[in-house]
Amino acid sequence: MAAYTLPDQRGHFGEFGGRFVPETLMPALEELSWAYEEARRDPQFLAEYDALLREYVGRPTPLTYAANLSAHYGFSIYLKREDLCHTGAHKINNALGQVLLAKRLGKRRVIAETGAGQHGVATATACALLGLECQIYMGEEDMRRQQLNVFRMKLLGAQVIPVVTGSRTLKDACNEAIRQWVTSVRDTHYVIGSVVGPDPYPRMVRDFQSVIGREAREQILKATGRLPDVCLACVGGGSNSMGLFYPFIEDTTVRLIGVEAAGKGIASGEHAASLTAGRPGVLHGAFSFLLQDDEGQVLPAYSISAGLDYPGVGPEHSYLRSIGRAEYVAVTDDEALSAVARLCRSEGILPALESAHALAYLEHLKLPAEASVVVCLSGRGDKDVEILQRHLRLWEQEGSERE
Amino acid sequence: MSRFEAMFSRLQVRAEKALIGYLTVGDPGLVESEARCETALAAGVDALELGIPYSDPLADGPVIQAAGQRALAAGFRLEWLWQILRHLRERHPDTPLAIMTYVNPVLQVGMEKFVSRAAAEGADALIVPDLPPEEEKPLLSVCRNLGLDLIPFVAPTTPLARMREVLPGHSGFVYCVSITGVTGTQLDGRVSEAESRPIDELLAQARAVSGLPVSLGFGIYSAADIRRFGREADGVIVGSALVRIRSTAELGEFVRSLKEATRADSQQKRVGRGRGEETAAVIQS
Repeated sequence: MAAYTLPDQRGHFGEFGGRFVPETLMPALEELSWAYEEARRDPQFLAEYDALLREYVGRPTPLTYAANLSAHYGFSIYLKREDLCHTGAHKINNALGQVLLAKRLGKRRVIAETGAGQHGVATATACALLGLECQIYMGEEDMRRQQLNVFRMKLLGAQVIPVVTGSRTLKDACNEAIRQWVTSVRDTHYVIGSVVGPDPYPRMVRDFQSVIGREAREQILKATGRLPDVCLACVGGGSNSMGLFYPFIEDTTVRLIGVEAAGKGIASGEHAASLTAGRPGVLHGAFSFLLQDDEGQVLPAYSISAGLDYPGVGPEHSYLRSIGRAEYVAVTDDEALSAVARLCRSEGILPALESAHALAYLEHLKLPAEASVVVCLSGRGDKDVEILQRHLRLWEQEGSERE
Repeated sequence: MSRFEAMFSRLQVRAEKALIGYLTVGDPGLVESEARCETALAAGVDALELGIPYSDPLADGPVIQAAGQRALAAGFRLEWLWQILRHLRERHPDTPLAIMTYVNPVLQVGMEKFVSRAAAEGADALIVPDLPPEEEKPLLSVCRNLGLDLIPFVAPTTPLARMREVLPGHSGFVYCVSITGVTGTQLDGRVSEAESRPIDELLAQARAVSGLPVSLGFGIYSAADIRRFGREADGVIVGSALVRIRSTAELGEFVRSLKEATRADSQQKRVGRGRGEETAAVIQS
């Protein structure tokens, strides 16, 4: 594969991406784009960011050889341990980068959307550390589902603003954050939490998250002496997967597999599998795959995992799919729940429900014994214990009834 | 000459501003929505913007969001828009009618197909708030071929240099956004007298750069707002203030008060006077 240099000047990955936002925001995106281009070439900015990743986030995160899981499946499985990042997920990599950038831009305030609350917590954390005012937009329904993270954000000094429009989940929190950004664009930076949104967000978030793939590439080479056969990660908006995939894009022998949330099954219509079951369209400022009806109304997504419960996906994923460089598959809620239990028992690691989607796909992978797979363990599952308790208890009951 | 251009030159002769009303199609239902359009036209709007309800209206405030939700809940389909458009066109052959839509419905129908249908049913223009100049080229060329205006936007954050870059090649009028905000953000109380000067400048610059009539929209709620903020405008666009009035009788009365404020004698008469007097203008929903 030739050198991969996308997106182009106008933020396009092939036909995907771009900037589909009200005129009010266009100058701000232009400004952000320039500021980011300058920052990523500024040794001082990079040094400051690297130091934070090292001394505050705890990077590099380990690449753990999952011996028991490997024995179970019959090929080598390595876990990229983003669950060990400060705040418990990969979201902090991007939040710190963007809040540093906001400071450099002279913005006094930061806003962000959050679904499960992980990105909200990461942004609130970065703002507390770097001294910026922070407002988090969160769907009322998600606030109910993720009370613990709401409390954490408040504890970190952020203001959490309930969003009561639409389906009251992540999609609507994004809408409201964008509206708020239109209103306060002169003194506010909007920290988008995934590789979605108008350019420059998809490339900027990818770049900040690509530390995952760079480390993993180096670590697996050190551990096995060769590149992995497969890189596996879950895809909601797609930031941990893009972060893992990006440094491997030109290594065409490495299969890149993104796992979407099939919810209650694709056929049920209750899922969040935009690449598997959606069509291209515009959502939140970018042209990409999304769940929509025949007249372009966006359909609500569903997943047991709040972090994957999003009807869109980053435009670069749509592009990688269109050129066949990455494959996208989907697993159900139940498969993800089984994967949580399996990793807990076999490796003593409680994964986030999001990350469990990637792990669940191991069941479907047919690989020879000498193959190796890197799975992005994007976050830890402590935040999900309530949901897990409810569902796994149900399983136990069903199990005992059967006996 | 397009219907929008004809309207602006007709009104200019009378030293009158255009009153452009926005209503959400299908709010609260198909039949009622058409009746609301007729009420607004009978009461004096010079042109209508028919808004397609959308699941994710990024540029809209709570009032228009709620209207869109009502319309979608009532079962809105694009067929409703085409039907209302067709009826209005039959009854009002000279009135400019624009479709305001987010870009995704246009893309899903297909640009060519959407614009041909719009033209066939009698629409004069498309207004697409989430389609900035950088992304509009394909749609602009389809619109040009089929004789529709694709209305360009300028915002308070748009620098003059950008206006020079993006405005040429457009027709109809320029949509000038009054404030950095979403639709329905009230200007009154948020924008002081001193801060209304940049609105004058924005309008004057947009007119000079484009050579087109300029219309001011977002946050205009009263006759007083039209007189205070619309001084430099050739037209004013009123959306949320119409949408939030639920009774047809009140809607008609309110539109008449707005139309009165767009007339030259009304403008001169009121210039420099206090603001408390236009009671008719401040209609609570």
